[in-house]
Amino acid sequence: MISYTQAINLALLDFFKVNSNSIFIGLGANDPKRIFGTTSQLIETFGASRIIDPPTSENSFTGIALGLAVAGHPVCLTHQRFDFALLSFDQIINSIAKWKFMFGNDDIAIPILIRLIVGRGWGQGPTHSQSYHSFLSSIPGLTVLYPTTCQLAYDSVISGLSSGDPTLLIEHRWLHNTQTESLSRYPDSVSCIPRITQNSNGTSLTILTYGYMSSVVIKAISYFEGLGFSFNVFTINKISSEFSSDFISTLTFTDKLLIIDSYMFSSSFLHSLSTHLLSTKSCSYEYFKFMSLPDLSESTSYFQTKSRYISLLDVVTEISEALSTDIAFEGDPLLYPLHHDIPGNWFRGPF
Amino acid sequence: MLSFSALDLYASCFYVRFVENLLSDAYVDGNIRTPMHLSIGQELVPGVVAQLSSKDDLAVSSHRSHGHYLGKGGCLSSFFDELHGLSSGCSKGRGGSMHLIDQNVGFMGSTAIVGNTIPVGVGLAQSLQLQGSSNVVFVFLGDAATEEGVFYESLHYASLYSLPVIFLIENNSYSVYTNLNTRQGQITLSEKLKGFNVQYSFNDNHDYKLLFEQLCCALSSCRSGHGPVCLEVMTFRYLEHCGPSNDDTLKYRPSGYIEKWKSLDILAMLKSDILGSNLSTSSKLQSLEDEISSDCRLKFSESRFRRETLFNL
Repeated sequence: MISYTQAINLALLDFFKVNSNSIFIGLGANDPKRIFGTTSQLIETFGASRIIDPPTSENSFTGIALGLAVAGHPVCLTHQRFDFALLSFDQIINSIAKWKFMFGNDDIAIPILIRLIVGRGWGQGPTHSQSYHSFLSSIPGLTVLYPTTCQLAYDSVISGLSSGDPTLLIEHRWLHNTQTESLSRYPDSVSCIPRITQNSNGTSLTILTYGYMSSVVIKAISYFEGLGFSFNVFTINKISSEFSSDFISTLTFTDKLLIIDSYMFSSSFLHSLSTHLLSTKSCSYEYFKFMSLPDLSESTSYFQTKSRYISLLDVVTEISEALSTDIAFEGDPLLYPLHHDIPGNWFRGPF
Repeated sequence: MLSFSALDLYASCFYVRFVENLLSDAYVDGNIRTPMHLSIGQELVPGVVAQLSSKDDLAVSSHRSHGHYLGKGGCLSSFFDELHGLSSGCSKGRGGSMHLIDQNVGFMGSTAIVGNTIPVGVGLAQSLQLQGSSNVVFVFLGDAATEEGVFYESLHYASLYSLPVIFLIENNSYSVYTNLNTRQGQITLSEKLKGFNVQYSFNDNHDYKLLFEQLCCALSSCRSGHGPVCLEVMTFRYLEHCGPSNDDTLKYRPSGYIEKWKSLDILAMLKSDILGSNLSTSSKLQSLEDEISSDCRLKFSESRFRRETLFNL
């Protein structure tokens, strides 16, 4: 089996083997923990001149990455928390996003991939939990990917390094232990990142989500599928608040729609979609619900975070309500985990 | 080491001055709408770089970048077109005065946020090092940019990896209207840089011969793999921070300071030294000026014609 972290690691190894001028820059890249294992074997294989564990100077090394990219080097930057990248927003927004535009050169490649790891629960806090992917996706010149599966994580790394478009990769810590049996590997297989994946095609309820919540939704619908219900589930892989009319029309195939964002309401990129849907369909949904995190900074307290995140139980409960069904699930350990702040027993912190 | 030619330096400085004066005069008719930070008075640094850099050396700059672009050999017609907002401009008219680029001569871009291109230049230098190149990167910045954290972060990184970067700091003592002392107190840049393990040189009073030597040494050191060099050059801008006019009526700069620097006008100094040393004659200098100015006027009028043609469509 291959984990999500191994998929990221393999993508880097595969790409760097083929592209001998590619560079990795990230705090902790070469330390014993290797950024949750995602940079394993990089320095041993490619050397310290290509795998750089830089001084703690996020804004500067982001601009340095841009200089390298302008000179033709594909660069992967990695931040172990999204919050750390906030120090580099001058370079991301004023430089990287605009380099092609402001010099009138739309055809040049700016091969930069910036991995931004986000988490929830154990090891988070007010400045270790933020994820402004919605805001970043609103900036022309940036592509924002949020892969939910091992294959998508692998493909997103390859795409970000090879597309020539500056790409931000939101990588959820709780997906790191997701497993797959096999991967299609670069360079034999080069996959495009689908903007949206349709996970299932059913009639009872449409669910639109992305990120870590996609894995929660897929678990949640399994509770109902043996009961005669079927679901129309969409996972967004490329974050953007622009949706085609064709896609929007698919959201109206059922009369019930549940939208689940992965972040806070005011920072959500899906709530503008929900507003649009409600206005265009004249509120004709039999059921419509938008779920997101509360507009409140995250506490580090185990006790104060119990109600912050959307749990599997929350989603199952919401689906029950949407379907007007009442299923018995008391005592299910997945729905009632001992701890709300870990993705499974594999996670023992520290962040 | 290249031999110094006062005549060549004069030609380079005159070229920058003439182009900038042309823009200053032309701005009032409203055909140039981009925010424009003119380099009049600060021609020395681009002039010396023009003498000593090759097109394979790279450069990045900031908002006051006309001189650097021109000194590096950037295309003049594309420059005028850029300021006129034409798609034939060096940045297709999108960037304007503060976003200049001509990769054919190694001018890799100027941007408008103070300090913003400093790390980009360091990244370009890291690429040169990885390629085993003996070329260098000129990072042009002003005194205000040395107050940005990214300057020190980038300097540290360049020093740590011994990257071939020459940080050329043009210190005109004012960030918009705020003087150096208000912003930086009594601690000099030289003192701040102790501990960064970078070579530092200081140039005052438009000492152009010394600057030529300092830049020669910096280039030699960088090309030999000895890491970055900081070269701080005191200078003076004649006009307002942004725009075509003189703003001395605002009295934010002491009159003695202005008089001192006007007496150190680089073109006047060079001309006096050239004539005093019999390196040339007044008539020959005039011919040189005429040749440069007629070419600039022609290219400017062609650009202006393209702008007016587009406007009248």
